[in-house]
Amino acid sequence: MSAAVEARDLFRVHSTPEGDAAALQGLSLTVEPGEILTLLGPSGAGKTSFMRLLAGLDLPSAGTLAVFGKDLRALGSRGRSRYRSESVGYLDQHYARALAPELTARELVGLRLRAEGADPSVRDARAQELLAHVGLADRANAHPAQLSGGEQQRVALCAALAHRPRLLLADEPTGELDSANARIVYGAIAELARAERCTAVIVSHDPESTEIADRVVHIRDGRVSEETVRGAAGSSIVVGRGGWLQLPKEFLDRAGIGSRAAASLEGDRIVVTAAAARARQAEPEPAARPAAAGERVAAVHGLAKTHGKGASAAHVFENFEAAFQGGRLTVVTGPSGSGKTTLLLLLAGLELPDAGDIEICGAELSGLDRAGRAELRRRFVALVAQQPGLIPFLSARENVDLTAAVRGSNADGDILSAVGLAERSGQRVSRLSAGEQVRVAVARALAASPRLLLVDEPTARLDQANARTLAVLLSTLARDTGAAVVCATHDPVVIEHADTELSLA
Amino acid sequence: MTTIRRLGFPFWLTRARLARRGGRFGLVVLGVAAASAMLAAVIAGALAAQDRDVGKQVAAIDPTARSIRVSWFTVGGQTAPYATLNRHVRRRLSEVTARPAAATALYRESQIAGDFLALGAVDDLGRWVRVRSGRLPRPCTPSHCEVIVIRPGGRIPSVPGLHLVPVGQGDVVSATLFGDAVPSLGLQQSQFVQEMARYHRPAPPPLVLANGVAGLDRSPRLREAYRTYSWVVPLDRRLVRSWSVSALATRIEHARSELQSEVYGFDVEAPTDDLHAAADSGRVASRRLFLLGGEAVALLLAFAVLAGARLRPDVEVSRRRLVSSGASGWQTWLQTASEAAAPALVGTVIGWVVGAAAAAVVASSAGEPVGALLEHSVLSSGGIAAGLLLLVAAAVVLVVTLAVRPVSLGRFSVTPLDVAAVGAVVAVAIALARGAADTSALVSGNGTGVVLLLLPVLVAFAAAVVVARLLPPALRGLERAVPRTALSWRLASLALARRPGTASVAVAFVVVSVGLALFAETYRWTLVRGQRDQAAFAVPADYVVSEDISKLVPVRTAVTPGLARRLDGRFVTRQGGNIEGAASLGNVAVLGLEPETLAGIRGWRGDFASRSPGQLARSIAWHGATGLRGATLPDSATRLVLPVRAVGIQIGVVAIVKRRDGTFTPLSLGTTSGAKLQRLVSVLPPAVRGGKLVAFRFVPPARLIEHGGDQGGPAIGSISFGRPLAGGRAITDYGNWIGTPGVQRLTRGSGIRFALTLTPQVLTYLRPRQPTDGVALPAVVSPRLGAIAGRNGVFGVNVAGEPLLFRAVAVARRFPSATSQDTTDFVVADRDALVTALNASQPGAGFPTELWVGSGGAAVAKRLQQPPFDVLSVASRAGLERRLRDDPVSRAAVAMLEVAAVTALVLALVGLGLGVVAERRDDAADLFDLEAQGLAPQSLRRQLRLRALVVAVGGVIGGVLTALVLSALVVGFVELTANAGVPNPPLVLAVDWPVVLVAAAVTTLLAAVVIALVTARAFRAATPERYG
Repeated sequence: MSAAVEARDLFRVHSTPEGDAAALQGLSLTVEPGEILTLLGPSGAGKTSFMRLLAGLDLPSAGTLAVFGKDLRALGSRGRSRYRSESVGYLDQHYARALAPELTARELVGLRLRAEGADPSVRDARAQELLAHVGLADRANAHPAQLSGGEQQRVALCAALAHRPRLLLADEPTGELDSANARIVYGAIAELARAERCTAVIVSHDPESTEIADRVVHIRDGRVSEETVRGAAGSSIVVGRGGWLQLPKEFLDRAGIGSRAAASLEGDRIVVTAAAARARQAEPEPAARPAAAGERVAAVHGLAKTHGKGASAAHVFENFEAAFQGGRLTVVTGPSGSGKTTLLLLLAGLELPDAGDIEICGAELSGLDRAGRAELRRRFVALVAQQPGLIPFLSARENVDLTAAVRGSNADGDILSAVGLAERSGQRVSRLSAGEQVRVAVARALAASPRLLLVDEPTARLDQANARTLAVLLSTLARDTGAAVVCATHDPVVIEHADTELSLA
Repeated sequence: MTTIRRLGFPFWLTRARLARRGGRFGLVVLGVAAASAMLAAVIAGALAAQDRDVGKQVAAIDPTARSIRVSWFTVGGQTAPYATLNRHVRRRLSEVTARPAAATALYRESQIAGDFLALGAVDDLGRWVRVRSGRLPRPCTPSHCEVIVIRPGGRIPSVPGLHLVPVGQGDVVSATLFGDAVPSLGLQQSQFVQEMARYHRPAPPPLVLANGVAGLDRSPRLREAYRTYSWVVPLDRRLVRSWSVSALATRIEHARSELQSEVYGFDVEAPTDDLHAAADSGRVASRRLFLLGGEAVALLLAFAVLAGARLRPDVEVSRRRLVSSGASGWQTWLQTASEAAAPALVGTVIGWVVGAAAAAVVASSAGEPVGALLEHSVLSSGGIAAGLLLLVAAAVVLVVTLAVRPVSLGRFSVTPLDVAAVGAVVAVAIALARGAADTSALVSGNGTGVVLLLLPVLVAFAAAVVVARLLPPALRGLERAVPRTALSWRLASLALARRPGTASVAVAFVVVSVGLALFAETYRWTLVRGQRDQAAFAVPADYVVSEDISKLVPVRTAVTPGLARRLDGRFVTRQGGNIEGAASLGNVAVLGLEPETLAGIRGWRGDFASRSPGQLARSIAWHGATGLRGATLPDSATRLVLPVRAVGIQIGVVAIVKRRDGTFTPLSLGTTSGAKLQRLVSVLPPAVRGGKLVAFRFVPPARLIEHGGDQGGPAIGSISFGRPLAGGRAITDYGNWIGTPGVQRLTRGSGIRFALTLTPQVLTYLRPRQPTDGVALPAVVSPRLGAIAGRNGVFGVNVAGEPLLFRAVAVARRFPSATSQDTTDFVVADRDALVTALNASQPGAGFPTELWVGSGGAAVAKRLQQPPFDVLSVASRAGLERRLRDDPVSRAAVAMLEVAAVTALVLALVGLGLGVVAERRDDAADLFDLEAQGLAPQSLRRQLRLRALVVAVGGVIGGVLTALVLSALVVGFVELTANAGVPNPPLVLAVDWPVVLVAAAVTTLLAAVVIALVTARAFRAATPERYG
């Protein structure tokens, strides 16, 4: 019996106005029929690119990808369309975007069968069967707006499986759900996938997803780095074609291996050691000592925050407490939907809590109106959002100067040097790499010498080397400027460099 | 079945989406519906205007000819009984029209029992006669035929076989029935014609009419009488409609050819040429309205695009959803297309119904037949095709707006809109290359109407795409140009430059709407100015008094110089001319003006000539003497005596005397007899005493006159004149006298001797040398005459039959009142010099033919209604302009342009407001970023306002350029006046600056209000919408 998914040396290069970016760099992976596979990896690791290839929505730049024996590269667009409609079920993170708000749950589930021209009685029976399976038989006539987030995602799951696909692809299926709902949805995925004898590939940050997986595969920099098989003693490191393998960071640190290593064969073992001469030269490592805690820059007390209303309400925070010290890099971690970005926005005064207090530099946000909060931000707070809002046709220097002008301060000429971009300061942002752009965004945020620097998923589009550079930068900035740096991230590299980790799991 | 279900899937989804969330397409539906309503209204309105124009044309046909008249004349002894003829004709006429013909019989005036009588009969007499006294006759029978007296004037005979019994007197109410053969209330004969008729004819006999042709026809007494049977179908408004006039004329022609070719030999009269002309005229008027319809459609479709662009993200999400849920490519495309087409369909249908209803209301109030009007316009096959065309256009535009993505070609991305814009430019170029849309082009059709409909659409569309393409680099340039210290401006320009999509759509819409508004206003004013120009060109003074050809009273006779002075009037001489041997120059207008008159001429435009009227006046000014020289006749003289000796020839001599009032009187001195010296004498009437003897004209011998010169050759002889005597003394010694062709070998002594050769073709004079003799008169001439003039500019023109020399001193492309459709060549010279030259050539030939009155006050207007002007034709410039302005076609065109301009401006404001809303929505991420950086809500609102200002300014600049291009194209391409006539002079682009500036000020104010209102509530929530 052939594998459900057979990926060999997959490359996917995206052309962007800023230049080509490789999302997959030689990924090889096999998924067996009926297997439930969870793909883990930081943002930008290539998970979504791989999922799009599997869904037939995109084509690899190089390598081979066969699904149930079909080489997807060999299929034309019509063949891929047929493949998508016959063989693939796709479950999106954004269920609200995936579900047409005009249709009822039954219509949504039967949508694909209707597109295929299925008999109405067959279609409706199938929809009813699936909805009953996920406990939504009595909500068949409800529209998405009348369903909770978890219910909507279960409807989306039924819709993805209605046409009995052989491959279910789920991209962060619980990213917008609270943990209770996430658990229900993963349960439904597992139950339905097994009942339908469907191979499932799930992309997630949520540890819950690993609970239902037969195998967990880690991706980093567009390659498979580790995998864990259910029931096996531990995880194994994946050896790629040509002998590529990626060692865990912890191993490297313990072995004192930096950017260069030496390998030797000792009997049937390969021994990897630090390359003596240039091991420490290539990359600056963060200081080993923890940063000294400065004054408290921000704090939240008794914080409560709920997204949405009614059935679809998601409780993000309840009686949440946290404090953020100057001179420290605090990382906020947790699965998608756990409230990392929300916390940053609350700290920036760009969202308001339902209850509780937020104190920034001694000021209570609750006592300020929108203009007052803007003024507070202008003076003390900087936010580097996931979409940092750089102006692509201006140079790095002009972007920084513009922000400084907006904030009424004079841009320090060394800011770009501080982020390692002194020589690229005159270059248009659109011509900088993704990592450089994030550094420009950080420099821009530093233009007003903020006391509180909020950074949201800064390494989402960066490879590991760039992620490490940025993590070092944030850590250094916290220490050098005395600012409280709060970074929402999934990335272990950043987490590794943090002074404090605030987990929202 | 599966295939059908798959096919139905996209439509099911579209229906489901629209059923639940169709409201978001409200603005799109509104825009398409408005376009559809406007198109329907234009189509119906164009037909209504066409119908009114046809009605006007038909009403202008002489009432005596305004009918289909089948006539049959017999001179006694009918070849067929009346009943047979009647049946036959009615059957034929029923194929032309369902309206029954009125049958008449008219017997030739004849003597019955010694009394002259004009006798006739009409079926259904009561319909045609209004009783003045007595009663209507009962149907006529041979034994007792009651008649009504239409024209009294004698005894009504009653004889055996024809018992005529008058029962009353009455009038025939319409001239249509009998034409001018029978007096009627509808017969508008001028007093002059009536007087002429009375003068030339004996008193007419009484005229009576019987009720019923058949009854009178059976009278035995009339069996052999001369008579004419007629079957008349009046052509009135109820029968002649714009939608049927061409077919009616064709059916008439068909019936005519059949009836005339039959054995009975019917004569069929109908104004078919007039009907065809009316159809053509109406067609021109209606097709020009397509231009306005096209503008409205362009504008409103642009609005639909603007509204549709807001929905693109939603449609894109839906499309992705479908793709990821496994729908096939064609299903996805079909769903998107059907979703875009559905609002187009709904909007088109709603708009069509609304437009038809509006047209019905207007038509009803204008007295048009609503049902027929709609049936032949919006509900006709052509109308429905136009609606479907709009539907397809709207659907395509929306599909492109909502669903089509750009295609990358290297560094550039090309959208279907770019390709379509190039196509639009090519289409406009091809349309223009086909030539101007003049009346003949519009009559012949050949797609000219379609071109007019599409021209504004194509130009506006191309302009919108060009602006959308140019906007991003322009915004980048703006950002670079803005000083670094002007932070708000810089942020606004950066934001627009960074994401120009929304701004491009908004600017493009403002470009289209402002451009079309400005075009509508400019075109309106161009047409209004055209009417003024047309009136002033035709009547180049406030009033032009000329001879009324129905009264034949010369201006110079009716208007004394004193009266002319009191009216501040200037006499003008206008003559026809031609250049011998040049067939194409057979119609030259020769105009004699005083230089002062030329300098102050009305209707002059700068494009007529490179020089001003004042300069032209100076160039033609005659600096020599004017007025004819001659020998003065003493006031006391009663006789003019001329001693004459004529050897070898017998001649008559006529003395031409110019009277003190400027008129000429020929005085025959008699004819010579033999070769002896004799004294020819004429009595001097008092009116000529004190006048000037300006010439002797020689009258050829009777032999030549009666038989022509070829019957015996010219008369040749030798003549001696003694000094002419008046009041007993010689009045000239012939010192500066000369002879015209025919006079040779002139010698002077105590008198004058010369050889004379006379032919009937040439008038030969002996006269004093005149100031204009041998001199070419300086003249302003048309380009063709300027081109044929010799090196020194001299050329000859036969003016009123007399050869005159002119010298072209200036060339003008056209000259008020001198150029028309028929006459393109003209000569304008100094009036006195022209008159002198004409009178020198032929005394009496030069005289004022017109009086141009420059003062247009009420007193003058009143005076011009009184004698002697009642026998003259008085043309008023203001009156002509008023008539042009009040013409229904003109009023409809101008009103539609006004409505279009205002609508476009309102939509521009709406578009601006929607642009701000879209900007706020689409740029929410950037605005969020700015707020995250500390920009306060107030500053963010300012950002939105500044962006709106940039959009507005860009839109206005683009709109002005679009309007200029479109106006220039339309004015150059559509050679029609507001009244759908040929513009003379041609239209020139004109801008009503006061209106434009006031409209600009009001629009600016309203735009500020709209922007303030739209932005007032922005960023007022406690927190921004979440992004990032």
